[in-house]
Amino acid sequence: MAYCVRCGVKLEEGSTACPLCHTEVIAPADVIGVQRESLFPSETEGEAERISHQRLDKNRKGVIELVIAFMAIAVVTLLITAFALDGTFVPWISIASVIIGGAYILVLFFVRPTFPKIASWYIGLTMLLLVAIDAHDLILTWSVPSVMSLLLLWIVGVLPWVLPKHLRLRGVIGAIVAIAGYLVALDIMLSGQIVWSLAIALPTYAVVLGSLLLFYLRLHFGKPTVTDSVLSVILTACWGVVAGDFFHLRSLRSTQMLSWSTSVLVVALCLLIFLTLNVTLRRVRNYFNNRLN
Amino acid sequence: MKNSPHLGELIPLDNSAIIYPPTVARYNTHVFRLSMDLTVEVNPQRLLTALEHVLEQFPYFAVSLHRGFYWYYYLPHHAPLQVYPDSASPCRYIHRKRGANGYQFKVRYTSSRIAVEYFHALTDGTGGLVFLKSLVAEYLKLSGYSVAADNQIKVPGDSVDPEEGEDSFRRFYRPLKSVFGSESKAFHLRSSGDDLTDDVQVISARIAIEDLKRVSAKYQVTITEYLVAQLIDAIQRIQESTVSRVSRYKPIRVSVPVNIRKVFGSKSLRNFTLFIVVGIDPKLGHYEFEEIVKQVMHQMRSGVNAKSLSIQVARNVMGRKHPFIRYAPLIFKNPFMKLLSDSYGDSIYSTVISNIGYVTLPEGMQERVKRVDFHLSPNKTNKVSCGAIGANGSLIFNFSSILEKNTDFEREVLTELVKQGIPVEVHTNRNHRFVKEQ
Repeated sequence: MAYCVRCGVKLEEGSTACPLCHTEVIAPADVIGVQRESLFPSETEGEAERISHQRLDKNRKGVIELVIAFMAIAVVTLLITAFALDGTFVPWISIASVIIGGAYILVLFFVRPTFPKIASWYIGLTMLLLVAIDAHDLILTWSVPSVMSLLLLWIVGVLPWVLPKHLRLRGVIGAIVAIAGYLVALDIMLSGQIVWSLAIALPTYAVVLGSLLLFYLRLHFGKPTVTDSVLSVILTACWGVVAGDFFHLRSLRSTQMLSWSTSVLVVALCLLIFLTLNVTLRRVRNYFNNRLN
Repeated sequence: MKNSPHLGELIPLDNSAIIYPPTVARYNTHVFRLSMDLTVEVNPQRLLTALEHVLEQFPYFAVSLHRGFYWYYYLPHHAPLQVYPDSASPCRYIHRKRGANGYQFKVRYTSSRIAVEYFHALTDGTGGLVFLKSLVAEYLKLSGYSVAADNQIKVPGDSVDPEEGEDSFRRFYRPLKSVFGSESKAFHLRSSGDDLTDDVQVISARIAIEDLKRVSAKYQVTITEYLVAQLIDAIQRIQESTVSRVSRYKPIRVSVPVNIRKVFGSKSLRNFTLFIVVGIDPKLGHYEFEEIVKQVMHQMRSGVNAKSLSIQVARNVMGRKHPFIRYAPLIFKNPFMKLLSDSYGDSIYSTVISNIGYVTLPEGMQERVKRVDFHLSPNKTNKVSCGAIGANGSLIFNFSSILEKNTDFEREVLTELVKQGIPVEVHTNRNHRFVKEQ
């Protein structure tokens, strides 16, 4: 049986290090001894006990119960108020808002904190909240385009991340198609027929997509600097603005090519020349540097 | 359809137990453990028979915990009993329904050990020790050994004293005003959060009682007071080395459970323990060990009297009697209990030490019990808890920790004992993982 040289405590037989300071025991084997009986057996119990143990978290449980308790108090108060006011107060919108509001918090405790899951839940709950508020007269009006926008947001911003990697391209194509469909649907909803979507929105969208495709190819095959990337995004926005003006004038059968966006076109062309020169000159410089050295 | 329980069978939790079920958590199991290492081999089947015999004498332990609309409550439980092999770490969570076949205690064994782990809502250390002693005595009798009579051992077939199952808090309650005081937060051992483990890490120190008595007598204090002073001194050193500014120093307090049965004259074997919180305020300056010892002695001795303790009894009972709390559904009460537990419990002290005292064993048991252990479960705020119990001339001082690698606190305490001339023998369950990494 050995003693720890740092702590001065007597160690149990067979100890190879001090449990207090982790100093290794350097002594003959007969001094260290052989562990006859450990304080606790080394084998662990079944997984079920461990899992049920780990599921518990005092703060987590406390907040969940507190949120549910507040939700219950709010719902009961609303029901009592509605009953007391004898029908002049309809509590259903408030109750739905309380429940969905509580669900926003509870989602954080029950759903695995990954972007696709949390975003999906939050978008879904927001859609539900908008519908619940709009449905007080049992007719859905303004909530429909809002819900459509949120759905689009989900398709564009979340769906590509939900899909497995090999299906991600399909998700992106689906998002592109969904945006086009959304533009047409919005046109029909606002105007009652197709007015601006086919003539202005979709061609402008196609130009923006084309610019983004070029940017993607640049990202894929080259290593653009941060400045290059920012300027490329600004360039895409400029193309979108110019295309919007152009197709708007075409739909009005105007003889003008562009009206207010001429200055934007100048900016876009300057950016394009700068970016092209930037890439080309760098390559030329690299080429000659390699030759000269 | 499931039969609803008869109202008469319903057993309310005692007034200090109601706080435990809602505050059970991953790092706060509210389980304590008492064990005896024997010189005879433990046969699980015989142990199960002994358990079946002994439990008849403890009807208030043969209960299952249920969640009611207003309160948690107990119902008499008659499910088959089981004994379980010992685990690698003590004080593991006992699931309310599945943990021990519905019982709120778990009997564990190794080839030479009988251990009982209790959910704290069932009983306290004193009740737990009586049950363990009775179980071990019955086991030895079934193994063919004779065990002399002892007033702390319940023999199967004897009549059950109804007073043993009473809620003594209710009996000794006197309505007192202004029972809720406010305490600032105490210093707590720090953790990064990544170094916490579900498996309670134990460092067990075996110290000769005579050595402790000798040193305690030098300071004219009891062993418990001496150990409390050592804990405070160790925490003071840790605070001084980890906190840069004196203005940021927090009070160092130690919670000491006190068995109040003798103070009030109770025979209850359910919970009847209260806590005395003693400590120092290091903002006032560094305390020498002699000063700490004096502080501890005065604070503990002034706290252990029927009048001071009546305030805590009133606090435990008053909450339950208040109509606003009494008739509030449990779902509203649970978060309130957690807040109460944090504000008036864990956060106001830096650690806890429970000293069961010296266990006297009757003839027949004395020579067959090698060692007695007592483990308290730690929690996320107070990451290390200390349990002390004496038997066979030794005091076993167990540190239960949820810190996977950090042993600074244990080292500070035990090396200081060594410096004061007290030989300490250390055992641990950390060996299995950590020491091998060296």
